[in-house]
Amino acid sequence: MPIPMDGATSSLPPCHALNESLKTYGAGLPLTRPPAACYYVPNPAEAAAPSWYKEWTMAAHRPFVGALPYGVRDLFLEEAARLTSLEDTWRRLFEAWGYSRIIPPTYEHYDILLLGSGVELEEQVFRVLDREGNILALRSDLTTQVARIVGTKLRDHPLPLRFYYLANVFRYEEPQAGRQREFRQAGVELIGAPGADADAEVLTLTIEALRRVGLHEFQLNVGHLGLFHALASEAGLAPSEAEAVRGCLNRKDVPGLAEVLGRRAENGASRGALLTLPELCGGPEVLDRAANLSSHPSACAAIERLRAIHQVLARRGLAGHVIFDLGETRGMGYYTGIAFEGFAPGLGFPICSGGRYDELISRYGPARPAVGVALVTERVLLAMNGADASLARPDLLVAAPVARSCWREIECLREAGWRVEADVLDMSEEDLRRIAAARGIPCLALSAEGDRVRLLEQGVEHWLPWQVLAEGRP
Amino acid sequence: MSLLWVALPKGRLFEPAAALFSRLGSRVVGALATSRRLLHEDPEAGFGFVLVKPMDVPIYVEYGAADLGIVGQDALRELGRDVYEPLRLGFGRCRLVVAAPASLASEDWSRRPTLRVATRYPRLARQHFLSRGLSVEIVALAGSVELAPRAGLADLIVDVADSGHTLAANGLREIETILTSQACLIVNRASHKVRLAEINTVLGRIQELLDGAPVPD
Repeated sequence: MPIPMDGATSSLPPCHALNESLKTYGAGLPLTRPPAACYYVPNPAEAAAPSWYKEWTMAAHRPFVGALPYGVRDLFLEEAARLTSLEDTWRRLFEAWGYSRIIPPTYEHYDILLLGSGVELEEQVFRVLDREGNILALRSDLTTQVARIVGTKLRDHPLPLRFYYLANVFRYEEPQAGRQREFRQAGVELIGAPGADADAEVLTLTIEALRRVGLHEFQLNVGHLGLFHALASEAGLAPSEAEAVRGCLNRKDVPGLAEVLGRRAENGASRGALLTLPELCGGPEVLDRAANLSSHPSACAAIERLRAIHQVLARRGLAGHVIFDLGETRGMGYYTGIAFEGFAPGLGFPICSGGRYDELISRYGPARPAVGVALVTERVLLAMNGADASLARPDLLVAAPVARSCWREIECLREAGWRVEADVLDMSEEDLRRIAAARGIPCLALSAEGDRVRLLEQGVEHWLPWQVLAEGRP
Repeated sequence: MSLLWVALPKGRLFEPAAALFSRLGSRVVGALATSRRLLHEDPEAGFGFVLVKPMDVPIYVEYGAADLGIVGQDALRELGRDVYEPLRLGFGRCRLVVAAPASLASEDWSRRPTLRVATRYPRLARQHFLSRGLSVEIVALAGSVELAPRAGLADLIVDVADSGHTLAANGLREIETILTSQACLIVNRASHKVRLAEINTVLGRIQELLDGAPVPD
């Protein structure tokens, strides 16, 4: 057992066997610096050993010091810039629609999260024990957290409430199509409005969010769970049978559907209606076909709702992005009304999903109707196909002596919107020129005198008052 | 119009699957078996083909590397991938069974404290025995599963059987059927959404062919 290098515990017997195994383990590995919090195995023989040997054995504890656990990744430079600029765009959009940011914690009590997310996400939840033995869960979904907050802390707040989030979530599943086990979601929740206008607002905002980042060829497949539940109850399906039917519908397994329903021949009409569902995918005309399937009040209400949404979106010129997909009964277990997913060509997985969840908040407090969407940020980046990958570069690089003497003038430039980078390596003028050329920095401040600065721009040197520089655009 | 990519399985399902697509108008699909190339474009028929191991077909389709695929339900259920399966094709019928050496088959093996099960279907086998409340040890193999009991590797096997001759030749007897399987057509979810009209046309034509004359096994 390695012990911390604090001297207090060095009376432990030296651990030769471990060092032997470390030598074998570390053999052939590159010499790397030990991690900052390094551990030291006390061994008298080592005191005499050269310093590289000590570093080598310490590094051998963690042979690949750059390794990350499966399912997470580092983002930096261009990739981090792309993600930031995407999220900035969405943040501005959501705020322009009156949504305010909500920042719930990364982990919570497992049982309280489970109350909302339901069992289907249970297998995918990252669980942790704290020192008191409480089971904690890393969030696998923001909607459940928002529901908890709205149901408890904001139970007396006037409605509607509009929240957006830009956050990381965690799911214990195989990484796929840009989504790791830790991935980012951007989404909105509109709470306290039961009507079609609220549904249409969330759909519009989803379309707008995808358009703003340059995606145009995408579609939202919108279904309604009310229709399925109405047909299932009309057919008199027991919960387990309804589950089997739903499984077949979600796989578009029509033969399997016929088999499951075949065992219940007594409800001919609703059986036929359930069998028709997978075909009901397309423009507003499928709503007319669906209207003939059933006279159950909640089936009619579902169709009416979809028609109303279509009207609003058509007026906004957005109906082209929407496909009605009535055979789809997927989505989070807490969805009760519309449920939708977004698809972009060339990407095998959905880029966003959303729906209405009128019964989720009541698990935490008073009942509140609500609707929301979550965009899978990294998948949208993939669908954008590498667009806008440029890293923001500085507008001005300032030589170290200038940065020391003229920090007030430089602050003025930064306030005026200039991106100014100060040299902290005391580079020679020649090195500065080379670096600026290599990194594409358009302007260099080489020296200063009084209120003027000597600039190098496009290969030309000239003197300019700081004041004039700050007034011009970078 | 870009091609619809189809993942075809190597092995026993290949012949009938290729026959199906040649009846849909592809002239190159028949040559796939003899060619060393694993990727063929057939712009005339509007298809592209990739030739992969049966167990890989659902993976190609789930990720959207292929829009369509043909695969046995046994492999599909084993892998549990998220794809659509709108059509059953009627060929490649088989059953996934539990089989045991004759000596064990006659005894009440379910009372044994632990059983070791050799299989190419670890997920389905585990699910099956769990649902019966039996604790078993699963040994996942890549092939020649019927050999395992004779070699002393396992007490039972879970494997596909069509006639049962292979089992009998290895001194094994069927105990129960876990699932019956046939080939089915699977579709990537996003392709099904984004290219619905094209895919529905293909599905309709295949359905017509199946209604007219089933593809011979």
